[in-house]
Amino acid sequence: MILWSVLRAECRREFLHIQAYFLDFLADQVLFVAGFLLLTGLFQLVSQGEFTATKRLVSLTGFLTWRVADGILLHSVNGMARDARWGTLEQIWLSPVHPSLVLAVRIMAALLIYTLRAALIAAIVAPLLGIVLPVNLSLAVVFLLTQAGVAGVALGLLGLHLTYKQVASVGLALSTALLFVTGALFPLEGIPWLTGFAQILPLGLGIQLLQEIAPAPVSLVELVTFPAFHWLSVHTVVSCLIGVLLLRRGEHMARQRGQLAHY
Amino acid sequence: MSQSPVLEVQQLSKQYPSQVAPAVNGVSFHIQPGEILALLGPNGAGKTTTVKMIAGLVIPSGGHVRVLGHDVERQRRQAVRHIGAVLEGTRNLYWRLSAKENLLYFGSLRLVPRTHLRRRIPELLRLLHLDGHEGEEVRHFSRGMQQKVAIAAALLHDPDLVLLDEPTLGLDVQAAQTVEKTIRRLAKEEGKAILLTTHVMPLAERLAHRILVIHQGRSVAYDTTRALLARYRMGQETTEIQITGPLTATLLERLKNHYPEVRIRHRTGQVNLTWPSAPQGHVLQLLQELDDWGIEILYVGRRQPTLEEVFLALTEEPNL
Repeated sequence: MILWSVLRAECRREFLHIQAYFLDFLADQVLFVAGFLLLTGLFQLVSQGEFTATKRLVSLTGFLTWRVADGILLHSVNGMARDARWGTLEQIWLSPVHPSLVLAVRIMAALLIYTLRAALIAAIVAPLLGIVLPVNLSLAVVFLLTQAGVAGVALGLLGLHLTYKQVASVGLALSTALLFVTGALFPLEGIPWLTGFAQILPLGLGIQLLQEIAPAPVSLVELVTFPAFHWLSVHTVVSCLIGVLLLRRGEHMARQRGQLAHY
Repeated sequence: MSQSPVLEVQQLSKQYPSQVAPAVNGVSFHIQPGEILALLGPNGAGKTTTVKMIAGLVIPSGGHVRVLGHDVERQRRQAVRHIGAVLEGTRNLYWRLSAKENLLYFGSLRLVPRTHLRRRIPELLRLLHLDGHEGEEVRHFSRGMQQKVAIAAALLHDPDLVLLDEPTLGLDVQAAQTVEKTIRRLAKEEGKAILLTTHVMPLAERLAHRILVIHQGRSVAYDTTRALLARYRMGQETTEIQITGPLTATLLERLKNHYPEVRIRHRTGQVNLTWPSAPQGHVLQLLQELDDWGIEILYVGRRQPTLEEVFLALTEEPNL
């Protein structure tokens, strides 16, 4: 009940902010749509017309998954910096709900909002590129599990923000790196060492699994038999645990040093 | 006032890792329901650190803070349910949201049921003279109106303890008066315990039932406002003399040399001389000399020292 009440308040606040900064939202959406179309054109050129509809679907799946993760990471870190500047961060700490829970709910709201934004991008890009988007429960489960791991990383970044302040560039660097080394844009089949490396990164395992099952969807029962699914589950749990620990440590240090509201 | 206190602060201390001297050093006080306590001190005295330790935003190095018997560090969840705070120097609000949306958001964070919020929000907006503005974005409000929305947000969950860190800072006279009336009403009619920090001494003198003065982290005076003023008023009357001005440079120099304790303030067409704790014989001598210099004396009188003068005496000389 508490969770629902806070989540509803957070979503409402986010939507009101989108409404207030609509032009910024619009420009951001256009940028990602144009960016993907441009990259698809480039891949088509490089592959000499061999960038098929299936490959485009795989690429779009990775790109959208990364886009949501990018939104969660940057939105969380920039949001906390803004809240510290505005004094609203301290008001969060005055809530009887544990601040870690409020921040986790904020990340959930960001997940919801960036998923909707990604869906908007997909709704424009897919018909233009002749991509048929699959609707499948297994895909949704893997997507959520992947983003839950990203949420853990975001919690960790928030912990680092409370300790060190100004970690937006860390978030940006991490997010940008994830786009290129996780296979978000193109599968890493031809680069085995990078495939292995991508699997230990926050988004890598999830993207690889999504790209595997997007062209040929599987049932939930089949999904559970995938070893990659098990590893993804473990990866997500570990990411969340590390994230919560970093956040708790950051919070303690900020309150110890009296710099909760510093920015 | 024999009820159990809303706020109990015992031997509260804070030593920041990066500082040599403690920011707060063994401060103790309590606030009863319906009581306003003014926490006074010069910049850097430890007022904001004290307020933030009470709110659970800074971890104390020593001592205890209890809100209605709940330890703020050990029973945070129960304690913060009874605390509302407006912290100094920040917005405390989302400027791109309307007043109502801000209140709905912070009310939800404080777990106030939505049905209750729908009644409470108009009530608070009326109390703070903000009705009719609930749909406007906060960024369009004057500083005074924004501060009033922040106060409303702090009152949404009907807290027993209200922490107000510099609530009238940067406000115009009208807005400051509304805030002052609201604080008085909250204590008198709603029985809220209020901790107020301010640099505006007349405001503290008018509002506070008790005053705590801290200097360099230590408590240097803690008493009822009346008792504190009475204590420092005994034999501490201030003599005020108004003379025609302006004074020539020679006369001004002579005055400063002969009577270094006298504070000289220039006004249009006249000069005010203020002499705290002046011996009567010396005042007569000064008046005689002014007359000899051909200066017209417009007014001579004695008055009780203000809280500002008591505060200055306390913070200049902590052992008084």
